[in-house]
Amino acid sequence: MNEGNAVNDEDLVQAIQNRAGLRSADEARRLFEGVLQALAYVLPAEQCDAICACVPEDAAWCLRCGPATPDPLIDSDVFVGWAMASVDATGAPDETLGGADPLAALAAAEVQARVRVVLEALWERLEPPSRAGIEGCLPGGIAEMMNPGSSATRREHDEGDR
Amino acid sequence: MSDITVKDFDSWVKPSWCPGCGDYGIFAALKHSLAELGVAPHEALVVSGIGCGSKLPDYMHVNGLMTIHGRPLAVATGAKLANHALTVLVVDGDGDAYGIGGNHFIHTARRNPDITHIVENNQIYALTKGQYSPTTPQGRVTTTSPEGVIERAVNPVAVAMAMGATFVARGFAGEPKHLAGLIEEGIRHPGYALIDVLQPCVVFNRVNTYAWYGERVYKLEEAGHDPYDRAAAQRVAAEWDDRIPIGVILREDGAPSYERQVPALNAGPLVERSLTDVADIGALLRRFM
Repeated sequence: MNEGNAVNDEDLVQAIQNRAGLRSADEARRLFEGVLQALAYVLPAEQCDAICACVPEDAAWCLRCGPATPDPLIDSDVFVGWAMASVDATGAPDETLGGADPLAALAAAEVQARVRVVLEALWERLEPPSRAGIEGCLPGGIAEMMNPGSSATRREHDEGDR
Repeated sequence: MSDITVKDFDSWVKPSWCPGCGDYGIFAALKHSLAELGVAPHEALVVSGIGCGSKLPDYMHVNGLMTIHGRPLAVATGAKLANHALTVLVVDGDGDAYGIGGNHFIHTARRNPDITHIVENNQIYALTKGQYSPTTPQGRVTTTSPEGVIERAVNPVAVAMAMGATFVARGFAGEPKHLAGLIEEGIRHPGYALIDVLQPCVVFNRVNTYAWYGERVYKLEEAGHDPYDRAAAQRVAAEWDDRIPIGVILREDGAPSYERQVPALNAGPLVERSLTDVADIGALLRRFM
């Protein structure tokens, strides 16, 4: 862990819970892990290592679960899917395992806001030299969430290049 | 090098899928595949049925047709018979393909028209809010199975192989680059190509999530699987739960496509012939009118 940016797990989880408006610390933890897993699918190993250095050790496994090479076709929509895999978006569960969230189709803004909370928390903890490299590898839309101040280094997707 | 780009397939209509829906990954993979193959929008036809994923033709600048529930394979076969030059794709969900369209599925597999069939398999009827589908696992609680699904789930790749399909693959919407490669291979294959896609439904299937699949999928090409070995393909098709194979499960080269065997089309596809070549319209009218 980065000595100058030491992260207390409980503090981090609580900050995410408060900023994202989640009902429980467990949801906040799952959201945090989901976003890290999504990052593992779009970032090269070097960038994952940089993030590993500023997250709690017990969350580092999330950044090791991705493919050997990042998937260039994962755009912001697919990224959100990986990030939100285990977190309800909005609406009341209907008590069955199958139907959880009847309002999810209208929840894009809420989902993005929650992902943004985690990305911003990571951004604050990253060493400045690592930031540009990570931002440059993120899908369009996600890079802006992580660093609202700059969109100049957005990754050019295969889609955008072609 | 083709000058076709992914952006050529962008429509002015923005997808209305839920945030994080697996359909986004399939959509990205499909556009990428067509661009990689240099297929222009006017050279492709995407036929769909009814369901969340079947809205895809609306979101794509391409010839598109949304048919009635379960019938896209029949319509696509007709289109391919009329115009062999079209790159014909069917995109529908597990309910549309394996349930309501199950009859068309098994007979298209054995008929072998040159159609690429991409099934967005989220194991649930999602558009209608979470009823269990033919691929929902036995015992799963859904809005229409409050005490658990009674029936055994359909294994679509095994069914397709049993019906004589000549190209059978499985992809994962969470890894669109890999999926795009499968779609390209399916389009290149001169016959019916089934690509069953593991598609997380972020709303109505909270078990088979991106993370759930991410922990289980493995790539057949990295495992040394020989897709020309039918017995090995059957073994692979039976794998589920702890390890789920993705990639080309089975392929058979050299089988003639359906449209190449229809005697009435020996003189060429209908689109290249004049009406008078096809039939004496006057005689037909006199007979039936």
